[in-house]
Order: sequence, then C-alpha cells, then structure tokens
Amino acid sequence: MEAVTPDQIRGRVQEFWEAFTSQARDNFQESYSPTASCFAADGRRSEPARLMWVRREREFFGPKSSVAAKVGIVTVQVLAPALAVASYPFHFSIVRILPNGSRVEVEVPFGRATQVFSRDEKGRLVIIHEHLSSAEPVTPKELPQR
Amino acid sequence: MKGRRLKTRRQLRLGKFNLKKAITPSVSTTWAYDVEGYDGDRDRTLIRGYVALMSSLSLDQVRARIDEFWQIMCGKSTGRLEELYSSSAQLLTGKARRPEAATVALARRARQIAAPGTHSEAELGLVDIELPEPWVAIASYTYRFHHTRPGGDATVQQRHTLFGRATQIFHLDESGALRIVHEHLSAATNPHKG
Repeated sequence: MEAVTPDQIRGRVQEFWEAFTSQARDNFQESYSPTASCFAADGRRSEPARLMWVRREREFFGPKSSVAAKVGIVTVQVLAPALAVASYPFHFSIVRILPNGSRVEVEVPFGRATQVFSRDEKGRLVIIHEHLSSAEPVTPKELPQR
Repeated sequence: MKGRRLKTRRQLRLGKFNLKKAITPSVSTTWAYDVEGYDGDRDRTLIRGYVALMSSLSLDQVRARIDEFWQIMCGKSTGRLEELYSSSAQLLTGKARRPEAATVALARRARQIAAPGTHSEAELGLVDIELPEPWVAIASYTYRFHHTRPGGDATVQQRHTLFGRATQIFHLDESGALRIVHEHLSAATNPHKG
C-alpha cells in the first residue's frame, strides 16, 4: 500500500469539511473510523465516533441547522506509512439545535483542530482521533424559534 | 483497525504519587529519519525504517511519560520539559490560535513553571491509549489543573482548569526514547479564576 503523503491528508481534511458544511451525512460519517475517539470543541470528555455521529446529526444536520467553516493552513506530520496527523486553525460558524430544542448561533473565530488519519482495511484514510477546541471563549447566542 | 486500544483509570493527585520509571526499550537497532516534508511548510516526516528491526513501545512507557510530563508541569520534578518532546513536535495549547513548534510553546511554559511562588496541582482522568503502530501511541484523557501564582499587591491569583482535555501523540525515536510529536491541550469551559 502506498505511503500517505501530506497532500493526501490535506485532501481528506478538505473533503471532511466539505461533507460537514454541506451536511452530507454519509460522507461525513465515512470520514471517521467507527472506533475513533473524538473531543468536540465543548465536550468535557472524549466520545466514540458512533456516539458523536448521532449527536452531530441531531445538532448540525437538521433543516434548522447550518454549518460554515474556513480552514487555515494545514500542518501535516507523517508518523508512519499509513498514519499522519493534521493540525490547523479554522473559523467555524454554526447554527445548532441543543438537546432542549432551542437554536443557538455559535461563532468560533479561532478554532483549532487535530485529526489523526490512518488507512482502514480498504485503504481509505479515516480519522482515528480528533480534538477540536477554541483558543478563545465562545458565547452561544440563542435564536428565536422559527 | 489494527491498532490496540486500552483504557486505564488513573486518578492521581501529583505530589502524593511516586513516579514510575520509564522502561527503556532493550532493542536499539532501529533507525529513523526525520526529513523536511512538503513544499517548505512545517510538515514533518517521521517514518521509521521499514527494513530495520523495530522495537515497540508499551502502555506502561506511555503512562510513565504522561506522569513525568505532569510532574514537571507541577514543578515537582527537576526533569526538563523539552526532553519529553521531539524537535519537530507541533503543539496546540493555551490561547495559541494555530499549531506552534515545540520550542516556542515550551519556552513560554518553562517560564510559567519556574516563576517564583507558583504552585500547581493536576488530577488526571481516564487515560485512553491507542497504539496504531508499534512505535506510535495516541493518549487522550481529561484533567484538572489548579495553578496559583503571586499577583500584584500581595494578592494570590488562582486559575482552575476544571475540564481540561489532552491529546498527546508519542513516537519512539531512533535512540529508543519516547517523545511527544504532537500535543493538543484545551479546556471545554473557560478556566475558573478566584
């Protein structure tokens, strides 16, 4: 199997954000290994990808939600022929649905991401660990119901 | 996935805890190369040689390194923080808005640790360690960090990170030392001051 290159990782990062912002559920889920561990930006502990999918689907992929992102320079560290780490800043603008049903607008101008990619059994590069955070405090703004 | 993942609960309060010595791998015939990667940016390639006999790291080594890291962070060890890191490490920490080279972030940290009158304590939560390759470990865990330092006018400034999250990626280098090649420390909520 060919060794992973920084360009391939950057391509996967771009595909990941395209899937997220276009709310393409299947492509988004296929970006992850089902056993991946993920720190959401506001999560107090890591959660497995399967759980994260359900939560993000409810919060971000509904008709009342929206996701926009602008990704900065992606730094890639290749650790093994089939393993690499991408880290980068991103600007994240979302409207999400909270568990209580309320809609909030969140602006994250200084988001930071670490994503560890590995090849799966089919040779696809998938995320096996993700850590998202914000460099600055974030204040969600509640939106009126519509 | 081919990697191994194990979890260990490690509730510890540094200072009441005896640091376990890291296990030095007995195999030293591995080699690695560290070359500039891609079009002049900060990419790094750290692929070990395919043909050489490879040593593998153990979960105990990773735990020992994490303990060592927090002992130093709490000023309870004379160890040097930079010795835990690869020279090509990338860090996302504090209020930094983008990944930084280890030298930049560690210089800032060393000043905070060495400042007179400071006191720090850390409590670690569940440590999740995955070994996606025999020489690479991904550790992720939560932590609490309590930091006190003298303020102006004889006051004391306290900062409590109650929902800290850590990702530390370790790499067994060519000398058999386990070093951090990537680190992301963050908090789920704003630190509590008081």
